[in-house]
Amino acid sequence: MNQKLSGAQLVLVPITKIGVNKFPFVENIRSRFIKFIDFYGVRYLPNSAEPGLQNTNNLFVTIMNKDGNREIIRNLPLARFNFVETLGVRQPIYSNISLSDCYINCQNASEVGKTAAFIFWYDLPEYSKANSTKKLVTDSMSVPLTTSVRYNKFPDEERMNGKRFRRLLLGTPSVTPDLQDGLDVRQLANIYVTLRKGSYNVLENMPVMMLYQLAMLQKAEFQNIIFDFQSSFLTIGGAGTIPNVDRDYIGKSVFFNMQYEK
Amino acid sequence: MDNLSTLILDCIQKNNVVKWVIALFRKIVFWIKQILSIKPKTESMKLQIYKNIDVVQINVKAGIQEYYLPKNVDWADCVIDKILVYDAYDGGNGSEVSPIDGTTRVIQLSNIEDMYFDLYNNEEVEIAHNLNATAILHSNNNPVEIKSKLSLNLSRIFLSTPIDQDGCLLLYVFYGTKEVETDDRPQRSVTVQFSLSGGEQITLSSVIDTYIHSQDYKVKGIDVWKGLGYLTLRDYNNHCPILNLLHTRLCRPLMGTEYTVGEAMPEERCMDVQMNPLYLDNVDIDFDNSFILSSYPKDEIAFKQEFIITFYY
Repeated sequence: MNQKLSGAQLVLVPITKIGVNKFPFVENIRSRFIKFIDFYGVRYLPNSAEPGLQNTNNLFVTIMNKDGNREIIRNLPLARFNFVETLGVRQPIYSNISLSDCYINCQNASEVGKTAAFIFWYDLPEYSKANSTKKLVTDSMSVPLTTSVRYNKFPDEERMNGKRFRRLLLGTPSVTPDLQDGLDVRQLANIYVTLRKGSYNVLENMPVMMLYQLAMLQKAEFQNIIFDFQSSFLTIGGAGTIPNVDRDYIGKSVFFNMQYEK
Repeated sequence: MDNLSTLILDCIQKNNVVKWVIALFRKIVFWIKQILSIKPKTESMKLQIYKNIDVVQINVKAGIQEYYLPKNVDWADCVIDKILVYDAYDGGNGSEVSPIDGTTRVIQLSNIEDMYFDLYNNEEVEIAHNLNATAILHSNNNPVEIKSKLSLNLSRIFLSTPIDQDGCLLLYVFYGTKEVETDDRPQRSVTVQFSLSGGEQITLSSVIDTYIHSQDYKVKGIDVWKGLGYLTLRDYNNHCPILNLLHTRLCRPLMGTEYTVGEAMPEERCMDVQMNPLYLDNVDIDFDNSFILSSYPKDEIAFKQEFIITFYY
């Protein structure tokens, strides 16, 4: 199985009742070959003031095949998808699925009214490339946070144009190399990244914590994707509802290391 | 009429031949499909087999933000596989100290998070720019690798936040590492237990008998289940250190993590996650000249810690 990553999209599933709560229809995922699914349990979600689901107890996931008539996964505990528990050792899906036929079975009344956040990792062959060299360069980028409700754009770093990226690594410094204040891990949990190629969101609203490799067992490696950083951005979750967001986030920076082919 | 009959008979016979040929062709296609439908090979494990791990100590001073790698090292002309930064353990038993001078405090993550590396290869091309030290922390299962000879003149380390207390930074330089694909894991092992006080050093021959060496067995791997110290292993044949003052936390097997999204990193990082035991390249260890040194200072004599180490052979 090719475990390298290419495309990813955040999908929000409102938990509205005890029992079956279906996933929404997402056009982008409809025809995609899904490789992995991660559950991201955090309070503040991107572009939403709704509380995120954090507890995985008594919640079960069923994934349906592309025709919606056969279960690929039936009632797997949500914990198996919880990325802080799997430490990057993701549950493989490796199928085309019918997202709107998939569902979460909620048996925990205290979680009704919350929204579950999932990252769907899918194959993106049109933007993926095979390795062309073993020589890699490690570079860095700091992204300043200027708004809690809109997009925080990546700086325009010309030297990264056209590079084929293999690894994106979130750093957690208190001070970045360009002497900006960084965020701590608790704050970084509420930051989401959208990396684009042209007009396409290759990684859409992906939690930056999924790029925090320090605690991960499995290496997260991308398939030599060329990103357009000029049109990419970070979003602070909660749509402005995080307490003291201006004081604690605005004016600070998120730091990344990245590896690309030389 | 006879000609037509002959012709018809001819056609029937030919038709049979045609049918026979078609059937044979289908059979051949079927056999080819059978041959080509080979089941995918089970993915073998990729193991890193370590041949040389050296320690580098860089003394850091309060207020100073820039440091350079030492020049006079055995690996100056070697391809460096990776460099790991050691984050000192803070378990409430005092500070770990340098394996070289036995007194200088080893710095911890709170200082390391604001540390960055600019690395240049021997052609003076920058291969890492502002590489954050957490990407090469000793507990990172998938650290950024270097795979290059380094220019020790140009490569530098800098801190965006200067340290407020003198100490030392310990780096571990890996070179000569092999990567092999294998489904085999070593099966035989011997496990030893012993205790060390602060500042105490013990040669391995006093805790492990010569059984392995006398049986001509070669050590293939090490797990340190318990104990904080510095391990030096020498090769019996050339007496060179294969592991030079390697902290035992880099030899720790998989134990899990306490980290949770949305919570602060735990202050007591008492669990270190490693993917595999530390695999070695079939080493005939000179146990008489290999040793373990406690990572705690001599004045912590009252603090006696237990070591449990497994040697796979």
